Amino acid sequence: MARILVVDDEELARELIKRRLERDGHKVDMAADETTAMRMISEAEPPYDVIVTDMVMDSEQSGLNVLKAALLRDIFTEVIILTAYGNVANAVECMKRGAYDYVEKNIPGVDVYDLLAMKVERAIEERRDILMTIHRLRLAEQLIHAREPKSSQTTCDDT
Amino acid sequence: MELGTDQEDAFGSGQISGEALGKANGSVDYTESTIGTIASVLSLHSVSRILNAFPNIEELMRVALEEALKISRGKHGFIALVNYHTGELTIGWVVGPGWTEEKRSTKFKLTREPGKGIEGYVALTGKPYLSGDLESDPHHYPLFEDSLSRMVVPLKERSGKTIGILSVSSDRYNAFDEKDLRIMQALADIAALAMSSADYHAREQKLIELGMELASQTDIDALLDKVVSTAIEILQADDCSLFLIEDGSKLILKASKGALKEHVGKAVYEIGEGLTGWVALNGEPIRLSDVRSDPRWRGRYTEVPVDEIGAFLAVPIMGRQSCKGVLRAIRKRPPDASYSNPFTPEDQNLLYMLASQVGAALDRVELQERLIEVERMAALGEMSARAAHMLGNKLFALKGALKELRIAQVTPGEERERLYAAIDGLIREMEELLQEFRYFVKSARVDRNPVELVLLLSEFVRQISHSTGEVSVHFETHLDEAWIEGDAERLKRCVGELIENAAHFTPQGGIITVSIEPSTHGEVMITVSDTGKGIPDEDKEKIFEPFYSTRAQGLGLGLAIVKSIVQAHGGTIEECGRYGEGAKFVITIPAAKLLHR
Repeated sequence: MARILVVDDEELARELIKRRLERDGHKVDMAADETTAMRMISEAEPPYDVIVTDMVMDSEQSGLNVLKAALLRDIFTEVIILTAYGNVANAVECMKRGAYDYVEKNIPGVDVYDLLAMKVERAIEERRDILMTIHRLRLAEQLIHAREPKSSQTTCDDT
Repeated sequence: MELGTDQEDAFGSGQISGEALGKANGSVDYTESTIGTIASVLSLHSVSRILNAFPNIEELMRVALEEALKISRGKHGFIALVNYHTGELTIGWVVGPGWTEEKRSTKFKLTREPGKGIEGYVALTGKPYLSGDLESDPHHYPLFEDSLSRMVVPLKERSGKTIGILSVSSDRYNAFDEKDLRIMQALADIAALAMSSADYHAREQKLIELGMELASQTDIDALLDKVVSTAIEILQADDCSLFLIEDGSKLILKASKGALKEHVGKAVYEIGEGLTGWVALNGEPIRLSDVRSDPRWRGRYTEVPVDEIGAFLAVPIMGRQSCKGVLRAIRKRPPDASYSNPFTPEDQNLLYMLASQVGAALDRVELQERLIEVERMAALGEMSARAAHMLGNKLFALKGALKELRIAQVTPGEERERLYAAIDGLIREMEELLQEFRYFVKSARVDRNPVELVLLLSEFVRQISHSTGEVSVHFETHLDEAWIEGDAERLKRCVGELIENAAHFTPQGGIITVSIEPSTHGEVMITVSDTGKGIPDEDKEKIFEPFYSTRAQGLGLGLAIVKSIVQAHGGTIEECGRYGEGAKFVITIPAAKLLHR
């Protein structure tokens, strides 16, 4: 189970995304605009694992602002950008700045909700992998630290 | 007379220096000694009186005549002016005893024919004439029984064109000599100068008036019509036609007054074809007396039968970059074949000036149209992007909702109903978006018919008042009928949008008032005011811009559509309420007819 925030100004859309992700067993919060989303992100404890946000809401840059807030809160939070017609360029810009992926809302013949759910799963895995790696690195670091004083002394003695 | 010379300035200020006078008279044949003679004979006082009275043509003519009579010790004198259209001299100012109404209304024909008057003969030849024994003079016409001597001098413009004559007679034989004749000619020159200056001012005034109209008018056809009338007036032409280049290769008749009027829009010259086509092709004027002798002449469309054309003048209408058309004028052949009435270089300059004003006006209108088109295209592009985005979002939700329904067939009925309602709502929103889009695209196109606003809007307000909820809508007018040329459906939509807007921003129990009143300029004013908060000053302009909206729904095109429709009716709209006291939208549209109660 992951903690997810869905941000979209179209009420029905965010509710349906929430339902879809809840079916996969996640805990989902919702925000109707950029400001609310940014507040919820900064207050979340622990931080959200994945954030799904619409690109254009209050402004053309809403998605980007949500992304910034998310990365500020937790650099490893995965952000997926949703775009309607004509905003792919913005979404790509978001990816350059650290978003995990983007999903176009209107792809003919594609169940975008399923597509989104799939990407969310992969994002969760990605986050899990990264956190795991970090965890291992920390362990390794601890191990190194634990051995360090001894070995350095040995070295000193040798010279 | 050319524009921008020293004399123009001197005349313009109502004063004239000796230098300017000498220069203006430069083309007339008299010598230093003549000036000396005038100075010696005319008292300095009289000269200065004449000069000071310069702006007043009537006064000047009277003084000139009195001086003429005094100096020459003549008995009767008069100044008559040439009318080249009728080929006659008309008496304008007289001096001496015994002038009856009948004598004053005598007309002299411009002719060499004996016995028709020395005056007409002088006007025709342009040469001074002295007769010491009228009884044996072949041209003499006895205006007064006791006239025995007469001298007649022409009043000539700087171009050499005779505009009138000064005639003095005496009841003595051989009353006048050469010296008298020269003095008369000097007086006549002053009079002619004053005449052409006054005439020049009148023409200049006409040009300025037209220039102002050209700068403010937007109805091109009405404007071109006005140009043609003005050209006829200032050139004293018999007709004038205006052709504009369309599709880069054709000259289309746009305005004319006489026989060609019914061919407006139909008469077409290829560029290069005929005199008119030549002017358009070469960008240079043509000035002719006998059109048929010119090899370029085709005679496809003429204002009067070719035989009757006595003078032809055509100038190009130059725009900033290219020739935009041709303005041409004609004068009919005078009734008497012994004289002609050609267009002068000065006429050509005047018409050229007029044409360049038209060119500038056309440039301006073109630029404006292009600008509006560019703005419109930009707005359309922006709007398409927005509409696509909004529709995309709604479709996304719609798709999700349908899927949810399919999966959730097991879910309780209540849940299903909620989804169905949400889908209905989405579909309606999408339809509204598409409708708004369509209205905006079409708002500049209106189908204009006579519309009576009082009945139309009172009925419309009655209908709409059922749908404004807790806000009431009132209709007020002091008019019985207010007719305009307009599109009833679009106008209703305008007022509907304003009412709907007002209802949205007016608290419960508020009042919306729709009124129709005449404006101070005879237009009709439709006002929609409410008791809401009103619009802050800084937003008063912005609210009419596309995509400006303080409401969550729609594309924000409502007021932009209203403005577009009003403008398509040749009207204006502004919000002139005071912030805090409610909004007040005022639409002003040109009225066809207003009936007061």
